[in-house]
Amino acid sequence: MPKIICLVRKDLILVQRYLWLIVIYAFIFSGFIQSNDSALLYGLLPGLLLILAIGTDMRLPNQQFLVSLPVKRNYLIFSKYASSFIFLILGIAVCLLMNMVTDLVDYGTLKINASLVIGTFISMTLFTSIYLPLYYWLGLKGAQFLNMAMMIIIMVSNGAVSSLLGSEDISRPLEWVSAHSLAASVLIASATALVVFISYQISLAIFRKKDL
Amino acid sequence: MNAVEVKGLSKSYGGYAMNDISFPVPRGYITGLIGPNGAGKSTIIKAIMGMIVPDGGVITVLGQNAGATEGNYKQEIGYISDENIFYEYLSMEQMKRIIAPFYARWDEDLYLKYMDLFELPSRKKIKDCSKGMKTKYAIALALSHHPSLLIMDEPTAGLDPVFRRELLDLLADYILEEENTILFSSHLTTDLDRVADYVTFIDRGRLVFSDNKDEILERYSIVKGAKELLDGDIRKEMIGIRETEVGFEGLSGNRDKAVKLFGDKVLYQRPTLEDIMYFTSKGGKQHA
Repeated sequence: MPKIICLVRKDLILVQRYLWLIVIYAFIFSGFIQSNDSALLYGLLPGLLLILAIGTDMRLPNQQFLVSLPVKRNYLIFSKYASSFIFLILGIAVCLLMNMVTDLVDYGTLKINASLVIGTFISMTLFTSIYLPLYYWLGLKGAQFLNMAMMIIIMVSNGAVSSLLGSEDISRPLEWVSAHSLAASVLIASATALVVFISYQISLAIFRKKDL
Repeated sequence: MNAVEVKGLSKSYGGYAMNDISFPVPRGYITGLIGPNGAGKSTIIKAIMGMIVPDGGVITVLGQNAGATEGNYKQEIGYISDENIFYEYLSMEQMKRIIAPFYARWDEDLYLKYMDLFELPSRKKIKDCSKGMKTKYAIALALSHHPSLLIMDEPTAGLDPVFRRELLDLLADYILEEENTILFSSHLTTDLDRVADYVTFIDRGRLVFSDNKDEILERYSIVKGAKELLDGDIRKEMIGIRETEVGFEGLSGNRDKAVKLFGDKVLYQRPTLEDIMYFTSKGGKQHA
């Protein structure tokens, strides 16, 4: 089994213990109890999942365990980014599923709020790109404060991104995006990839020099 | 051929500094890494395992470059830490499922054999295991991928005497395979007196010696005699001296030289590793 897959699989096994928490959260903040397309669901669920997944091996002994495995340190960093994106996609998928079910129950139709999904994906990607280097830099103690700060930022920024995408101020840029959908998609995808690449390089530079 | 070569290893952090440590770990033997707490044993082991980034020096393991930027050489290493490094909230079975795929030579039957031998319940969570069970589990995992080098950082600390003996027997079995090597750090030198072939002694971040254990124990000597025999020149010749009201006990680093100095006026004894570690660490004059 390729080592990256082994490492991602490790994160999936570790996060299983939080499954009940995610299910309860997804239900409470779904359209069954809150309004449909709730920012609390789209904003916080993927963020919560990311923080739980990333934090599973935050303790120093667990990092020593990872480094004792026959893998290079850059694989450990790369796998954390890979796991983060898998959990991000899973988080958004759960949100979509919950919304689709509640839409079906409430209105008898299925609809996908594309701007909310894209907004969540972009804001969460940015969040991950900021969070991971800070996580490797600050370690366990610093990360506890970081988690609190990041959850607040997720809630605020995700709501802001979603409302921005829905506001009239951005209607002209959005019209341009609609008219040039391929160019806009390439631009957004490239900018996102660049941010992730820079973030990965920073995390790698920090972790390569870290004594465990 | 040496299983591990450490050349010019240096590392400093906070008030601690290790300078220019070089020693080999001969292949096919048990090498004990001894020294008092804080001497630098764990730092050396962590440097070999790539857990710390040295300020200088080169480490090779079985001919491959080792250290923080490498990874694949650890396929050949079974590592047992001085503390639990596994995920406490997982069961032993879950933890094994994480570890096994990383090793090309993982042997499930061997793993089950060790779990059975150590009477470890697979479904038990690691956090609910005793210190002894955690060490046994770490040994089972470390041995189940057929490593040719076993690195153990203080594995016997905190273990009961019965299991300590069992562990030493297990190591003796492992080393029967002539390609296998063990690097074993401990401040409990009685364990190493029993099993080590070579000994590397670290004190305050410097290398005191690294040699064949029997040659070391032949070369050094405990000298016991009357206090009147001690003068300035003789004190300088001794590595460490412990004085009492009636006499002294000291460690000489050269038995032949001690015999020339004292003749038959004193008693000579073969030291233990603990004697050597004690007198070297304490140094000069000690009063009992």
